[in-house]
Amino acid sequence: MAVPNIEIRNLSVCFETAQGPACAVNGLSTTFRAGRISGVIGESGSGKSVMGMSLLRLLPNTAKVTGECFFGAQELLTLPLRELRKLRGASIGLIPQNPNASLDPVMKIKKQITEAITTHGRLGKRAAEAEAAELLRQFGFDQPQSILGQYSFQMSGGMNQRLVSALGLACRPGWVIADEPTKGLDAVLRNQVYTVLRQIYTQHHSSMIVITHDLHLARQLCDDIRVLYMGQLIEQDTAGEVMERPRHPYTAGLIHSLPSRGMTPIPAPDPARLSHRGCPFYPRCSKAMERCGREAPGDFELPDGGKVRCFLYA
Amino acid sequence: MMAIVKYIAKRLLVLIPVLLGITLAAFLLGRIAPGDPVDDALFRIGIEFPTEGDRAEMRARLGLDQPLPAQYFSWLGRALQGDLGRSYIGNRDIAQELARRLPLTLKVSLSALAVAVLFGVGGGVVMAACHGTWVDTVLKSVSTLLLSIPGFWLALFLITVFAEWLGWLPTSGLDRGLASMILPAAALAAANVGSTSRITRGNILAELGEQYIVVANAKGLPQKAVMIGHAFRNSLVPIITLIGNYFGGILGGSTIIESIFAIPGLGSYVLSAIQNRDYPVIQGYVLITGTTFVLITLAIDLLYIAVNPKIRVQGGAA
Amino acid sequence: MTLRRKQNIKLAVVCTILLLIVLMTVLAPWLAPYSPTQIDMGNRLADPCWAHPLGTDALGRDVLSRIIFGGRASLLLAVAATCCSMGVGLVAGVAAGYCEGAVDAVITGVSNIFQGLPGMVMMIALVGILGSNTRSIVLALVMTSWVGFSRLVRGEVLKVKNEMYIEGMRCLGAGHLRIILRHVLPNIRTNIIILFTTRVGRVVLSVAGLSYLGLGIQPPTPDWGEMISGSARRYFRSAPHLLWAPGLCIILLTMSINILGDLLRDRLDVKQDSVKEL
Repeated sequence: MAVPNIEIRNLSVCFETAQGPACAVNGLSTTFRAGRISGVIGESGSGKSVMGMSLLRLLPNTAKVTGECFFGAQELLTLPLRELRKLRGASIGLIPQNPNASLDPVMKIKKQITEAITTHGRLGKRAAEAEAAELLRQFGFDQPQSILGQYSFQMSGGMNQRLVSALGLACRPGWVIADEPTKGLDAVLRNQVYTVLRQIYTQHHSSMIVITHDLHLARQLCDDIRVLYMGQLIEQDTAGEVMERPRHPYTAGLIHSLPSRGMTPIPAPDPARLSHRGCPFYPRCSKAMERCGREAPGDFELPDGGKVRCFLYA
Repeated sequence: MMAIVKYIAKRLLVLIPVLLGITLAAFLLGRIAPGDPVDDALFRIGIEFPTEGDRAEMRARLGLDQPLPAQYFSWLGRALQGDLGRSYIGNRDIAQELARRLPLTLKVSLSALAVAVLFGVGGGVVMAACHGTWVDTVLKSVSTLLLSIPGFWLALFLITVFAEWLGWLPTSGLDRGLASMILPAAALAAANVGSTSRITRGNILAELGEQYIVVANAKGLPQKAVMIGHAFRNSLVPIITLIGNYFGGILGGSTIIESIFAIPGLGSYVLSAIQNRDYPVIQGYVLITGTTFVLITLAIDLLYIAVNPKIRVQGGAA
Repeated sequence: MTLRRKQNIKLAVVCTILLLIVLMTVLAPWLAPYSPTQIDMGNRLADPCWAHPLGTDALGRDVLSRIIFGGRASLLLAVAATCCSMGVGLVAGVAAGYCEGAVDAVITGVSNIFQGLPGMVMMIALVGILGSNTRSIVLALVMTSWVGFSRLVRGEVLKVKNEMYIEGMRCLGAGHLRIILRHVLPNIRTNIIILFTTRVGRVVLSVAGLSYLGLGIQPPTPDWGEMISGSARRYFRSAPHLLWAPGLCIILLTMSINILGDLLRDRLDVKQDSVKEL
């Protein structure tokens, strides 16, 4: 069976706070194509992780999710929970952020991996254990049996990162969502993660959504890149186009703030422009026009097939 | 394996000062008792109007002419050999009497502890699983109610309903086996059921907010497996320590419950001793309940090894 | 928002109940139709009627009047004893947390020992030996509940003490007393208030238990716990109303206090585990 695309239509995720509703994702629509590695980049709070989690409905109950997410013919947001559980792990795997906190501290690694396999009824307990050992070997553990008998607090951060990656792939899902896989890791571990994700892609032929603020990782790993700003998709194109010829002033700012690209910071919001109804980036945009404060830009197609949400390309 | 030994050794080491403190408290209770023990002792052997000589002799015989620390150590030495003195009333060996009554008190207290754990933890799991629904609301109110009812009033209430009106269970005594245990254990456990269930609920809900729960859900596990296999198992770690603490309250409360259900345990013994100003008995009571409490807490601490792998592997922090 | 609203309503109800109970006990001499100690042997164990809405007890005393007076002693005792425990705990906790080192070791050791003694057992033994008067009851209550305060305070003091701004204050030359009074104590205020509330509820129950054993508030002082032990134990078959009224009063009082504690905890947004039951 061919792996279907993941198609998001008009997705919004809002949280009820004491100051009123706060929306982490705002009317987002896009299609993640099967067979490709799609990167989602943006600064902290841009809503990228919330978007990823909402696909599997893993957000806390306080989140109000509206819109549609199609996985082939199935609509994930209204699918009965029972059906959704069959997809979780089996068809769409998650490689969570913060690997040390992602493993149950009182359960042996063995049980944590095998339960992910057996719960979908594909293998019995014995076979699942053998599968788990094989999986760990693929992720670079030389002695999987001894690792399987241990707990997460006995491992280093890098080992836990590989373990949660293995966990996300335990059922060989067609899709993998990797949520901030390099957050808080040092350079050596970041490289390791890159290798692991690359390996997943080549060995398991998984389609991937990589959510990250690590622009280097995105550039190296991804086929396409989507840029999120304040819950809106402001630019999408191939990785090469986005990184080498960023169109949106925000994307350009983000890339030029990299140490290797001049380390120029994005300006702080201009207080005079704070209250407006237009483009969300308007208060910080160096190329803002008078129109940007009045109305929100739509998506403008680029000649090479990309899209950008900015009046400069109208 | 070494880690477990290290952990147990650490626990035992902590216990020593606590046990000494209990003996010190029991000893001091005897010293602060009103009345002159010398006169009391003389009175008991029939000398109502002692001379100064009689008193000096008795004081030396009781060891009261020595400094307080020396008195404590000789008292402690005798207590360790099982000699807690003889009761003023009836001149009975106190240690023997306590040993005869302790099993009854233990039976009541341990059944109450079992009830508290079973219903408290069970109720907490149900509340957490039904979080935000009417079941949670109702059970939460019930647990607050249980926390607010005086044990003795609940005991009388239960007797009225189950023994007087319905006639299902005996009003008092222990001669009908398990049936005669139900009401005392329930009355004694009620408050602890309330607090245990509230704490279990809170702990599970806190665990449910952890990242590893998101991951467990992302595996596609059914809700039951996430709830019991992950959230509940993790919440047990702090709950177990608290349950040990509750046992102290149960031991004390059992004094009241024993007097209501006419159970001839430690409680009724100490109550009659208080009425008769029989101080050595009160001392013995403090010593034996204190020690029991410490030992049961230790036993529960060992359970901690079973639920917390960190201790098995690293010895953990004491 | 609706949750807030609900909590507000609950808070108002609970506070009203507590206020009414306090008013009732304070204004008891004016509210009670009879003297709570007036014995009328000709009218023993009367059923509820117009003259005696809750009937009379085994000595012919009016139960309603005794109920109205009955909260006085135990409520006063509970608040006083909890204040004393709080005082002792505050001093010990601040000393342990602020001085650390040997002082801390000694205080923590002592509180470990106190924690190792089963509370109710110690209370029964202390009151049993010293005799049941206010002084020994308060002493017993303080001895068994100062540790909770001291642990809470010590933990918070240690936490606050290591904050950067305290270090800053010290660099500015602020004295120890000033730091404790102006910066440390205000930080632990909410936790203390919550612990105080839950403690009062517990102590009311403990005092009632002691009274039931005949070790608490002594007759003829009217007290809910004593009323249950005094007459209900013997007459709960023939005159069950003697059991219900005082019992319900105790439950209403402790439950209101407990709910108030919960609401304060929610409202002041304190992590549940920082005010653990000790």
